[in-house]
Amino acid sequence: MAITPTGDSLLAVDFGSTTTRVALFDVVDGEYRFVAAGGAPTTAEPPYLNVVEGLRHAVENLRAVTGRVLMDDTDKVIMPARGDGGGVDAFVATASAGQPLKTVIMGLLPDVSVESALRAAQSTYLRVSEVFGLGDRRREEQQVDAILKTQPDLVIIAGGTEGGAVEAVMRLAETVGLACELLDERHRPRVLFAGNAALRDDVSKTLKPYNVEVHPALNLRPSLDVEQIDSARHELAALYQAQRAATIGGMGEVALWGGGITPTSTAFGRLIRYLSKSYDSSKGALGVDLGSAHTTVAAAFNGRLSLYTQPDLGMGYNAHNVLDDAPIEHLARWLPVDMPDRAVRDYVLNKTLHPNTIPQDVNELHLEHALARQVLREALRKARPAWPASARSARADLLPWFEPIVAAGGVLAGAPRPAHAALVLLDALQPTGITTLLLDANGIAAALGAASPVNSLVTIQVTDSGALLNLGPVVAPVGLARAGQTVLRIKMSYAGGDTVNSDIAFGSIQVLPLSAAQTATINLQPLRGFDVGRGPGRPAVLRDVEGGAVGLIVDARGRPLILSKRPDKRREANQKWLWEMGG
Amino acid sequence: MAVGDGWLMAYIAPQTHVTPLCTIRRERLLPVLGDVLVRANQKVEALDVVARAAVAPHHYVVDVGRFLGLPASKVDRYVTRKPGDDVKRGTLVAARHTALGLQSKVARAPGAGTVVSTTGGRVVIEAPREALEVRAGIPGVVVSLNPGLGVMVETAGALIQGVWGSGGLDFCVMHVLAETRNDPLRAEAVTVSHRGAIVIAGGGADAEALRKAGANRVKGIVLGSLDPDLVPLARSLDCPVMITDGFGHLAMSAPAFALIKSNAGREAALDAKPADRFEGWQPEMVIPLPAPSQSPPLPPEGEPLLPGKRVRALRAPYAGAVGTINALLEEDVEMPSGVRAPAARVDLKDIGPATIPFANLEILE
Repeated sequence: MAITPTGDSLLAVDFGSTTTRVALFDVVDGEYRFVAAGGAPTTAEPPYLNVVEGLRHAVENLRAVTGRVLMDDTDKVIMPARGDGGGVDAFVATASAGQPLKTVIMGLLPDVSVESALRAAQSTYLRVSEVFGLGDRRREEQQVDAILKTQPDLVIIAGGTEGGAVEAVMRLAETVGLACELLDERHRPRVLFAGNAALRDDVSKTLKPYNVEVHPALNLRPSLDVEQIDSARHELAALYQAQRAATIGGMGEVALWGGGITPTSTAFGRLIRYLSKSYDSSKGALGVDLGSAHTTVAAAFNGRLSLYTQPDLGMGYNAHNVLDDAPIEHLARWLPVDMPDRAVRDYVLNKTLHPNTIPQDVNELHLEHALARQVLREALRKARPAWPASARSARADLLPWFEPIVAAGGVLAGAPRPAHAALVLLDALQPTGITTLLLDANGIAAALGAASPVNSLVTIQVTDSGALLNLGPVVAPVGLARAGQTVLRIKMSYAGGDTVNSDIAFGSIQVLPLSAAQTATINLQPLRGFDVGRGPGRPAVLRDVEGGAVGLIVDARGRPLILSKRPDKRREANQKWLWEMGG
Repeated sequence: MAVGDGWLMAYIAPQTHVTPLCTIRRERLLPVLGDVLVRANQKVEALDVVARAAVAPHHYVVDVGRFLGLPASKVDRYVTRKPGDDVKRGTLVAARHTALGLQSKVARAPGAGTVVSTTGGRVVIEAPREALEVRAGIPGVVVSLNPGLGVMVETAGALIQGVWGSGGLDFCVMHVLAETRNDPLRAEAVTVSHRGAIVIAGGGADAEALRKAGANRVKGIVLGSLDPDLVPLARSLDCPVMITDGFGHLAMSAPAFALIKSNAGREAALDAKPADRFEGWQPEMVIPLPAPSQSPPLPPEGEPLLPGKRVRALRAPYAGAVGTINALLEEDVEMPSGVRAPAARVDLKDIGPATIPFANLEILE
């Protein structure tokens, strides 16, 4: 039975580090649709210190497109919708703006409770400043001094399986208590306890004299071989919201309009989890969100979400950190033009100084997209260890099979042509087999995730309506051959009756025409033992494949993608691939 | 669409101040509670300490229960010191005499300090506190107090904000060692006569020039730009270093260079504390000027891009160029990169008219 929308319109706002985006969803022809979006610089920081200012500008921007009045004269969102078309029925908010929460992690076994606590912390915007585990050789007084120096916003205490360690866990709580006793009351952290559940009350009692809020979550490691992270992740999202509401002007007010503020990464993860359940269940769903200050990688396998947020790596404020993780050549290798390393480094550092800026000339665009590739690769490298070993892939060192892959972030959404964004994703993520690239061109991915608890129909129907821009189906065969050898034969039969045959040479990218308005049946015959996801050399038939903004993308450059060591050859290849993609 | 309509208001541009005369207010706060050392309306010099706190550099935790062989809940009666007591290394902090007093188990202070806690079976001693001081930063008048934390200082003068600072603060006379805003700091230009001064050049500097400035004990360096390779050297110098425009080889913006040059020989407060967007802080140089009878206005903040505004381009191909907004274009413009974005027509000094995305402009006033 079809589910009918109740007719509620929904306004979503995302407070990013640099940009505040609003998106309006409403019922069109009986189904929820994305209507329009608006944006303005975020005003969380001085001199404004109030996010409502940026929200007001973004909503004005939206009004210029839709003509709908959504805020009243007192800068409040009008709810419920009025008869004259003004206002909305529901409101959701997400945020990544503001400083990451300074966090101390305390656990027992480094590769058990400490690792799980770190993984939970990576689900949102936390900066882990100190980690204490049983392997830590610092004396208690040194641990206390480290906490005093950090002045954390949050302490996560983990450790002790169910029915397991007691004294060691309580010692952690006592150390936190001692630090809190010495900390000025204004600087005492909140505590998330996600250890041995039997100790919840004891931990609370230990910290009560210092007026420390203790938030319990389910034990991250109820047994050595079981990890349950969702409860802690949920509590961390709530703690993030509380901290934001308390420290950023206007956030508390906005939270009241929509029943809270969800971390953008959490909302993005929800969307990816939803997609993992609605697409091919034998594969995972992957999402990457490339922000100015943060980068998020969300991978979901049959509804099980692995969410990784790197709070100090992004395309703007934290661009410089990419130089800490990799030498400058790693970034420069993606350029199709000759540019001295010095110029690349100057660009990255100046981008950090001026994070809102956009590439005006072509070389700057190449630099921006090279940076995007490197940031994504770094984030992916760090996110992967948390993915389940059972995730299916052609080889353990390659990206697992994913369907679809969703990309968000201003640098990709604002790319001159869809092909630019697609090539950045192919180079950075190096998908394998058969997948679909979806681009969050309107900046609504987090909104769709945030909307799901409020009105899941919005998430389902807007996602199904194609509001995420389909860049196109991708076929990336896995195998080894000499450059120029045919590794894949494709026969594409359009719904209209026409047929296209193509032999794909190793080392090339080809785009076959398959527009968003077209569907086709695609026969894939891998040669030389190449694998498109059905096993080496085994054919695949893809029926009713929908086209995309780029077309059918066949990436036969090999996995992993190996770039020439010779700079001139490498640049030549980068330029050729860009042309082949239509960029 | 007319100027002032909704979407035009929506572009709130970043702002850097290069202002010939304005009222400058700066809050100077301790990170922890301490003492404010000045009064409201008191005149202060830039390097005057206005607030001071004492902070323990580290602590000692004595696990009394372990020393006495007792559970934590039973040690309180054996603790011989109370919070506030000063102790020396080896001072007895707890003692337990066994049967007949023939044997005793004791716990001693592992270092000198003050007892701050005796709960939970532990004695916590903080090492002797060290002073943490906050200086006025600019010469001026204390206009308000924040009890226990610090003050607001106000002055009138020229304000030049930078984009990067090495840390540190000083107040002294300025020497401009460049003819034009493009000229770098050259080693041969730095002499012993610059000892105790802030030296200023238009472009960047090489390592030799920075080292020579350090060797001649200058009290500050202001440059248009800096090679990133020299950042560690700049940070290692015993004086604040500020750059005004960016990394690489950029000239100092014309308004900043002209303003500095017109005030050469005056004293200036250079505060090169690194930029912090969450605090809204940019490194800056303040040149105190005689206040007119009426206080000049505060620097404008949070202004939108509008025709007539002086702006600086932040990115190639016009990075560093300064001009005036001629018009805000009604439609998004496709840039040579292919990116479409809202943009402005800007009359750039020495270059001419140019179309620049809003996102690549900052207001300079």
